[in-house]
Amino acid sequence: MFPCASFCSGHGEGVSVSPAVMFSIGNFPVTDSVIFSWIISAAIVLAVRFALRGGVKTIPSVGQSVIESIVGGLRDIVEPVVGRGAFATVFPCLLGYFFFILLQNVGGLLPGIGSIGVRINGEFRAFFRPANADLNTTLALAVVAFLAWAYFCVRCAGVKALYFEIFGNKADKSEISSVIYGILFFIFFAVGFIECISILCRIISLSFRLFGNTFGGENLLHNMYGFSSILKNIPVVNYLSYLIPLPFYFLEFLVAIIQSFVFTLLVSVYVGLVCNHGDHEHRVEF
Amino acid sequence: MQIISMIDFGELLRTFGVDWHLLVVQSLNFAVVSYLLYRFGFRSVVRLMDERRAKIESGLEYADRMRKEIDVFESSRAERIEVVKKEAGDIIKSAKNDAKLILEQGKVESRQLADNMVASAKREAVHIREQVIREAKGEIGLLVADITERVLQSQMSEEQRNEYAASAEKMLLSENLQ
Repeated sequence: MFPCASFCSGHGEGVSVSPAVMFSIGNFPVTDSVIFSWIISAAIVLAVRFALRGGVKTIPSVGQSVIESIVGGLRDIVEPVVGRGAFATVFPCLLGYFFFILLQNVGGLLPGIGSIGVRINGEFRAFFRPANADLNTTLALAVVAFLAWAYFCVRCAGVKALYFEIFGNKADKSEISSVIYGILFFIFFAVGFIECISILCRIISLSFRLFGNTFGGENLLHNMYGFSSILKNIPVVNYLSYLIPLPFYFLEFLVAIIQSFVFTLLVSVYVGLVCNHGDHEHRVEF
Repeated sequence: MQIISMIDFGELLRTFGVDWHLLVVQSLNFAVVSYLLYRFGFRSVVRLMDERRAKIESGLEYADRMRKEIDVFESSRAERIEVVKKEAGDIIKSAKNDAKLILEQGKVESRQLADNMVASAKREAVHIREQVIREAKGEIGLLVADITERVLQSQMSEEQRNEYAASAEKMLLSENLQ
């Protein structure tokens, strides 16, 4: 397939925890995951444009139906979580998260991704690495999610509500004595600092959850290919060796969907914790 | 806290190959993709879905309103039909009564008219009969007298002829009266 003998497959060797720098533009290192994420990003935008070619219609085309069903399904799940007041503001960002993570994950399962590369000094370097198998991508997503969360909370609920949510005394003054209420005020204020740490830890939990699942899946697939390579040498079962990674591809496809959904849902839950207080406004028009 | 302070975050990030350049680039990558997806794709889809939902909701609301109006119309129509049926029944009953009354009145009047006509006809008949009798009596008397005269001129005396004519007239009168 490749004319150069140095190109090879990295099956069975496991995946490096850090991305490989393919080349540099000044001080900026261009890694295999960055190249892959750019390609997939362009593909996502083009695919959506292609699906909606000719504009959206009241009677939808096949592509529009697919997008509508995904968007509608996500909206039905996310809207009650975020709250109707904040939904219109938050939903575009959530849609971006869902589609970006889903298609980056699914793109990572394409043949050749992480498996075709070059061996330099005995070490295998893949040309492409799934974007979410690089902590830089997932950390960037988590940081953006954190900043977006702060923005949405301030915009939709206000600084006062955000402060109250973190440091405020949530006890009901009518049900307890004022002495206990005063004590609780200090306790809630102190708990607020722990809450701040917890909020900051969301960056770590979001990024490492997605990274761990994708990176683990990538390793699993590589190891299964390695295992099938061993079976290829056994006469009777060598034909079955190609089938061994197949179930794990299905598993990883499921993981790709679930992880994109989990990330999106967690961001919406974080926003909903501050912005959604059982409001009953009517549906917000875009 | 001791455990946290023991972790060398710099080393940890280096192990995972975290680079702030890459973080910035990937953040921008995501932001740009999200913006483009929403600006050129999802916004119009979401707007259309909202419009469609609004149309469906208004359609259902309209159908519901129409159904309620139909129910109200049906119930009012049923009530109206009942009222009209009752009115029609009353009118028919009244018409029947009127017709019966008119019929009775007509019968009485026609009977009265018929009686009058019969009475008048009887009177007329009696009058005509009397007139006819009177005329016939004279005619017959003359005829009898003439015949008798002719007969008796040859066979009877004057006295016998008069006596015979009187008895014949008397006999004719009694027959006619009968």
